[in-house]
Amino acid sequence: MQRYVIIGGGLAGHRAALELAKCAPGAAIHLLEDEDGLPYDRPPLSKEILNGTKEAGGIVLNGAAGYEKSGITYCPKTKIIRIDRVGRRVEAEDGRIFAYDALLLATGSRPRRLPARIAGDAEIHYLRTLEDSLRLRDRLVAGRQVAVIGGGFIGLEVAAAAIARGCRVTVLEALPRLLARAMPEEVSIWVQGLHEREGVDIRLSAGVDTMRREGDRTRLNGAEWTLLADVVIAGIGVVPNAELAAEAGLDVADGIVVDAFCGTADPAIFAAGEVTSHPVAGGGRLRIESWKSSGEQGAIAARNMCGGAETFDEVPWLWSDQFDANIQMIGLPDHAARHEILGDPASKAWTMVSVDGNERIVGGIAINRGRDASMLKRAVRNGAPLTFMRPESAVFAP
Amino acid sequence: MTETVDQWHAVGMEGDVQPGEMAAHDVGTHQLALYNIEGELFCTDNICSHAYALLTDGWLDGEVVECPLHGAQFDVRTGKAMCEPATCDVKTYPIRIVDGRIEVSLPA
Repeated sequence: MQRYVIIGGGLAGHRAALELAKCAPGAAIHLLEDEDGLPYDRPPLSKEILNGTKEAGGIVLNGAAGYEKSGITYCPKTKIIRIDRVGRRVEAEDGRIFAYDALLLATGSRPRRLPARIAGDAEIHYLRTLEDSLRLRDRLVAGRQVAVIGGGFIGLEVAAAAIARGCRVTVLEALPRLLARAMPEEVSIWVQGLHEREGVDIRLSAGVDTMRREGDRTRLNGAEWTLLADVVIAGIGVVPNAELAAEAGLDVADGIVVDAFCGTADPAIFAAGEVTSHPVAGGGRLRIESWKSSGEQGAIAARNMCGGAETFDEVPWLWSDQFDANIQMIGLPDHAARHEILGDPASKAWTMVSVDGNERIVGGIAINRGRDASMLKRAVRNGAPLTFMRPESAVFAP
Repeated sequence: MTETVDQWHAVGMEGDVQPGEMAAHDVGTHQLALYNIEGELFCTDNICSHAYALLTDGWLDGEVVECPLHGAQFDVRTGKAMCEPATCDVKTYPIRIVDGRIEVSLPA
């Protein structure tokens, strides 16, 4: 009987488990997870859970309640500390051993932490788990002064939730614009306008130098400013949980290195999700932080563990909901030769289309234009020209 | 105890929704989406089962409608959720054409 072991009960691990149950019905499937409770969806942790419109029971991943019926043995509170590649077994902290014929590493990421020389003795909230989110929610009380360190997706979504709860919010971004890592400048400017209209105090080029407790509150100091806050949250990026793989001798470079089939150099070990560094269309490799990609990669890895040979070449796609805005990013706008804007970037809804040197669409960003997002996904997949999004500019032969 | 009876409501004229198109139409508190798939009409709730968004603001590809907010897909003929993040189907309603009028049957 085939034995499959999955380390990590996040979206990728969960989807992989369900897929393995489908393509290897008689096999033994173990899904191992550090945290307690059933696998849950992370996007609501910075949105609906924080602003109180959803509770823990409402974010359990679809199919998790039926693991046993599907033949999946789910083991929460199981921290794996070692992979024995020769013996084909993994060892848990409490001594339990799980033997495998094929192993999937789907260990995800953990939040990057501020170094001690900056954080001092300050209490800083990081947001990754359901527990983090519920703990933070309790602290987001109306009237409190909240400091959000980091003007990326997480920081901005938390800022929006804190405003919804009646807090006073200051976002401290070290770089000269918001979302600098993921987005082009036009989008940074638009998002800043959105937050400022909603009452968020945005401070750019405002890296934090030192922090310390001052009674119940926290003092934050920058080069030319100082702030006293009741609650401090930091959203400054994530680090892939690739240590287990590295210690087992697998190739790790900004994530667990996998090929297009989600395979590692060890034919019995696969990896999927946010922890991986995988090939992307057009060459090169990336570690992508995207909900959709994680689930898809988990499913493909599972099918390949059952003997399939599917390539994971999903068009990257992610969304961020902030206040009443829906922002979707498709493909790799970074790889573009130029961007074209459809609509008015000062308005509520507009789209940026990114094209390569041959005017083929390689990605884009849709601000409150979901239909354009759907079209962009198809455009990138098919290598469509810019005219696909801008039909009025198509030239018709006489 | 009153018995509730489904009622047919006029929502437009034949020809209002062309093949490959979808249209929004409200009847009281019901927000509906009408679809024309190769000449055949279908009707579902217009609100995505995953988050508040109008399916008719999204994208219709064959018989699958994609929600504009987070890409959830539904088969408009059955309301079935085809892909994450949707996990719940959307409700469908019987639809017919009578004397050139499109009618949808809704619970009273």
